[in-house]
Amino acid sequence: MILRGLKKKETDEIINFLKERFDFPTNVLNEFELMVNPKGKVFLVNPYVAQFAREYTLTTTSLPFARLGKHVKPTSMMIQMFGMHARRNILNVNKENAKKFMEGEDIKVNNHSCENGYVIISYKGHALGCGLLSKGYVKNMIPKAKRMVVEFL
Amino acid sequence: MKVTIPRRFRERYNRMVDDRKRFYEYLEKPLPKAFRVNTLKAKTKNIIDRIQQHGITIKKVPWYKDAFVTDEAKIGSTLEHFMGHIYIQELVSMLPPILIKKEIENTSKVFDACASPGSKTTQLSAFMENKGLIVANDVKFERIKILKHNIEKLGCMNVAVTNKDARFIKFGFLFDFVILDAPCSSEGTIRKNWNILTRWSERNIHSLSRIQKQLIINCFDMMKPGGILVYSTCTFAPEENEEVIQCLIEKRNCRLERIKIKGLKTSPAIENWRGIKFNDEIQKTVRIWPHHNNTGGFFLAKIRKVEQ
Repeated sequence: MILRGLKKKETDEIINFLKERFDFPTNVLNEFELMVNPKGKVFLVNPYVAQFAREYTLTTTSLPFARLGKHVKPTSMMIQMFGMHARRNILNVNKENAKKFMEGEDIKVNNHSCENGYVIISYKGHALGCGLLSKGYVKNMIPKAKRMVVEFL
Repeated sequence: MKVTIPRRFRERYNRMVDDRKRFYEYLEKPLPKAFRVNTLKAKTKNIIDRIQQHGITIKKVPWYKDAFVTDEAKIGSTLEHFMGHIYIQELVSMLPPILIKKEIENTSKVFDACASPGSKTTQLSAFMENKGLIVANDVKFERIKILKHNIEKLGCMNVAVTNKDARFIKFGFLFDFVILDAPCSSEGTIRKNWNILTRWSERNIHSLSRIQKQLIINCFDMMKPGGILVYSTCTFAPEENEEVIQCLIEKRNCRLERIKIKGLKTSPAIENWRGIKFNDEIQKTVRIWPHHNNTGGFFLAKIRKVEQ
């Protein structure tokens, strides 16, 4: 996998999305760099990994942060890591919905103040992952491999 | 469950263990479930409080403050596991990173030669607080998937993954530390996988020993003078342990460091095997027998590259 640093326009697109959508204090990302692979998958890495990735071909790295395309698509792994810093479009769910969401199901929600679009699914202060809210339904965006049945929550 | 232990296996280890009865007794016991808190994502105290609130009983591990054991088989079905706040890992497998915890710095460059599934990589990443560089390598492409899964889940941002044969890999720079948890005959994991015994053969041990010797030489050469290599296996076979270290001592300029982990009972290496007397330095390596700490079996060596 060949990674390159993001162009200024691409970085601005991601940063603006995080600020506008989640009121996210992007200074928490200051000590990291964003890099992108040819498929538009953006990774957040520290400067040592970034330097290594410029010189060598990697098989993969972490953290998958977002995907570039027509619009920015955040990843659930990024939300789990940094979601607690967000101040907007956080959708708090009850135990039943939290369980369903972690298992990979789409969930029906009501009584929330989130705008349609990407939301942070939160349970008891834990950012569980990313969902796509539309007409009272949240489409599950947790990668299949990360979904699991949670009995103790 | 009654395990049939091959006759040749018994003959090899009867003369090596201090207490045969307890050794075989423990081989038949299932391993306790162990986990460690992923300090990249959570604080140990908070996690422990939350796990106990689930009604799960846990016990501290005397030699590692972030590690715990539990009788709850479903520890993997907790919110904390889903979130990557805890990582389920056999206790002895947590030892190699602990051996370099004091020396490792946030600017260190570490090579994890046989990294998958990423237990040691993610533990090191937590020790380094997501700083520095860990090159996590594995020769088998299909094993990279689980490594990727774990570094993502645990939030490691100082890890670059490569898929090369560590017997021949070279980079244009040298590393400060190397973790070589070598592929082995896995005799020490019998307690969690009885099938190990059905595949067990001395021929396999000799074949693995040859690979391990190639691995340790190349990994040692990838390190800066003054750097530290931690060699480990989860097997009892001297051909895969002491004999591999002996090979390195004969071929390279290195010094072994004494291993002492407070609260963990260890045994010294064996002095000779089938007529071969090992170098006295090898007495600084340690063996961990299952019946001493109620864990799997393990071998550890901490090797420093002598500065020219």
